Amino acid sequence: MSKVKVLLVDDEVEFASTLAERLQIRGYEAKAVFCAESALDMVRSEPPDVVLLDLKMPGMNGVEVLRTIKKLSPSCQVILLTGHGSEQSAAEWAADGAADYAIKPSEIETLVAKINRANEKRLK
Amino acid sequence: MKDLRISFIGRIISSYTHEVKNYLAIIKETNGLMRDVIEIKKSRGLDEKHFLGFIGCVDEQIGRATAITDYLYRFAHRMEEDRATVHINDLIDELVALMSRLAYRKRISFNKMLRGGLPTTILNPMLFHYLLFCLIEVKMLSLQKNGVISIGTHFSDGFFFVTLTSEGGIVPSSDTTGTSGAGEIEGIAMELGAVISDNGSETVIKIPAVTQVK
Amino acid sequence: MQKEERHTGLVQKFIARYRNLILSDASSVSATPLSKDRYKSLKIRIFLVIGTLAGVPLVMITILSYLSLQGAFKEDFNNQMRGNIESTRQSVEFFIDERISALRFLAAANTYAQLSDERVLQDLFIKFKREFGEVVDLGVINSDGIQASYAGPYSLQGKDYSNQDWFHEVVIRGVYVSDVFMGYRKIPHFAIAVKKEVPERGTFWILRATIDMATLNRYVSIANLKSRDDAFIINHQGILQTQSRYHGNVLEKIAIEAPRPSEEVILSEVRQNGSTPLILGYTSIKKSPWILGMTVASTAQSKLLDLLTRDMVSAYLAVFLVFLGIIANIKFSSALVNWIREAELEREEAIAQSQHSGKLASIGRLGAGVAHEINNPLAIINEKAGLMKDILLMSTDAHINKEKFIGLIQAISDSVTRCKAITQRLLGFARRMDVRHEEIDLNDTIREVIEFLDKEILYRNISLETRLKEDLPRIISDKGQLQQVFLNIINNAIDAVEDGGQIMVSTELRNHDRIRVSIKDNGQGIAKEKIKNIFEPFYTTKEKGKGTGLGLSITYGIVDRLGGSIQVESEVSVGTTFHVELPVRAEAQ
Repeated sequence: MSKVKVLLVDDEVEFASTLAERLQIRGYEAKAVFCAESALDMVRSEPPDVVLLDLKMPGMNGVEVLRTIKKLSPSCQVILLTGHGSEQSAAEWAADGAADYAIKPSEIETLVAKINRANEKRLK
Repeated sequence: MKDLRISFIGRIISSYTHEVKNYLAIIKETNGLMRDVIEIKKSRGLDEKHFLGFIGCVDEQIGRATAITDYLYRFAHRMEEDRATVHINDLIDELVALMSRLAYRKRISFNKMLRGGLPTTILNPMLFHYLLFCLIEVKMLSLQKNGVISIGTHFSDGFFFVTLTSEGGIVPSSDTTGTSGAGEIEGIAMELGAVISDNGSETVIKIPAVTQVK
Repeated sequence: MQKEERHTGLVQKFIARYRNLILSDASSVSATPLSKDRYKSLKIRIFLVIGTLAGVPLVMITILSYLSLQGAFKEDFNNQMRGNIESTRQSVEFFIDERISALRFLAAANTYAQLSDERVLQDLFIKFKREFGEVVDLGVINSDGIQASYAGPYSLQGKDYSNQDWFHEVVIRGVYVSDVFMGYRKIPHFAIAVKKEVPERGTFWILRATIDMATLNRYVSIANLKSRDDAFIINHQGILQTQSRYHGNVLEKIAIEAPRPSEEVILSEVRQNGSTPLILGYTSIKKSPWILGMTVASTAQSKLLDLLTRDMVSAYLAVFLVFLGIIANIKFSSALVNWIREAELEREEAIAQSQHSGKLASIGRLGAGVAHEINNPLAIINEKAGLMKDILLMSTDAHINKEKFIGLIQAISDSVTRCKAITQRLLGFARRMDVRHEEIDLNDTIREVIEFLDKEILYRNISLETRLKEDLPRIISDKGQLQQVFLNIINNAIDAVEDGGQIMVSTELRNHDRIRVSIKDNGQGIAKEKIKNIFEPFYTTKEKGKGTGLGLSITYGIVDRLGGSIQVESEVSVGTTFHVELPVRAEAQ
């Protein structure tokens, strides 16, 4: 079974790269990019299976990035990373195409579970 | 007085900050210790269990810092609207969490007995926080060290009842008016539409449940 | 032309000033802070407006009705006067007519021959006198103008009148009434003569009687006269025929402008130099060479005023009503302004409330923002520590990569530092919000500060006087900081004065919402150009090593943050005064 391709999009370099490394250890093909443009480039060139997208990045609105990714690669599952969430926002994000959301900082196990769930959704 | 409300927010934020700083301090120390261990004990192998212990500690602090930051976030958001649909228990949770450091200074702890399943109501959340803060402060000032403040909630006949009791030694001749003063407390209660009764050992806030904005 | 222009100018100026008074502060209703003085002036302005709006039409109506009443009064008065003159004229005319008729009858009832007999004439004369009174004499004159017979006090027998005007007139007209003349015993008389035609003989004769003016005088003098009024008879030459009260004696030329003959009753105004104007009414008396005149000194105006002032009840009532009106106006203006002030207070409250809400909302957002910010470094620490764990647990390498670990540890450290920076900022923010608010008695605070400096003051023989206003409202502010402020300024004063110098500290309430603390010394003073520098940090006039120069700049900062202000007045070699003004309610910045 091929490795699940995970793309991490977060402007916090240390966070994204470390998390990517941890996912690598856990058998995911994880890459980290640090801005929305790079993320969209990656989605165009090497579409990932699951994207972990930080909402609060400087520049482009996180939700817009989400929509764009979904447009570029509809099968791509996007998990939103956010400092705080609520039921209301979760519903909104789902409506925009998000597969799930996670609160920063999250336990790696939680993230892994979400990634797997999202991937399964993709495969369906 | 409106300035006292802002002052209160300042105190809450201070309390939070001190708490987070503590967690950060622990992380820092643990971190430093890990470094020391690696550097000093270069020759020997790495004691995994030891290290995992450290890391576990760091994790714990992160967890706490995150939790309290979440409370701060919720607390801060409460100030954005002066009417909102709220769960009173949530408001109490937030305030108690953010006041824990203030209470901790006197080794006072909180005991929450919040009944579940209470209906929501519409009120000014920040004002509720403020009222509760003032009443808790009064109790804190009169308690000796190691006291316990219990907060309970229940709902009946269209009213919420928030009960505050303190257990522990009472400080004699203490300034129990706090920085806000009795007049301030009455004022806030009036704005909230709440009634406060105090029989010496128990303070009860009675708030009508509001389901529709007039 | 110039007078008109000046009047217009004045009127315009008045209107402009009046308008300014009313409108001056209309726009600043929203801008200026509430103050009792403003409300007082508003009350006055509204009172004036209402007073004017109510008063002007009222005054105009009063004036108009007074004028119309006066008109009516005048007309009434004139009618009355006319009536008087008419009735007097009628009396006089009747009197003359009666006597003319009597003479005619006498002439018709008797022949010339009969009347030529002096005894007959005398007898007739006595009877005539008895019935008609005041007949002085009776005489017969023949067609040649010679007195044929005579009964009376004079001796006129044989007198020749043929050249006299009256003879010619009676011959032509058939009847003649003479002007008054001074007659027997220096009493005014007049004469009536009638012509009796004797057609059978183609001749005529004249019967003449002299009449005493007494009765006519009486008629004229009882013409319903008030004390300053006058009635008289004059002839066409303006010679008085009766005794006038004010305008001259009988047979003198009348003092005022003589009225002209007139069939109608004419009323006119006569102005006399230095006296009140008179109303003159006059008319000709038929069948006589006379004009009846009447002067009335009391004018319609004074009669009206007279009437009004005599009616005390109405006058008092009117005054009372005006008084009531003024009271009502005052009360209404007061109530209106109070209503406005309440509305403004409410609005200020609402604004303050919404500002407060706005402030809270922004604090909320700030707090939320910070909370958010902290999460990032926390997340990093989380991952780094997690990775360490992963490596320890999952790595299959025999050797743990120590460098890597050190790297991870460093990264954690950096993140913690970041968190700390954020929390520091948050703390600073919280501190600024938490200006310790307590109720402070400024006078007490100042006394405490002075007590603190007691020793120094005594040692240097400085006389420190306090004039602290009693019953100042308590101020809500930060006690510690206020103490710092006053300590600093009083200290400076102590340094500035010589030994034995004077310092005066006073407090007063200004505008009901600010307290002013003044600290005055008679020390060396500050040069005008330097005054603006004194609040700068590190500015000091003391010798090196003495004082950091930070005192006043810190003081200024504290006062500013507390919502107050500092002013300095100073003159070299005279002294310096510091004024610190503080709001009664401090504002949290």
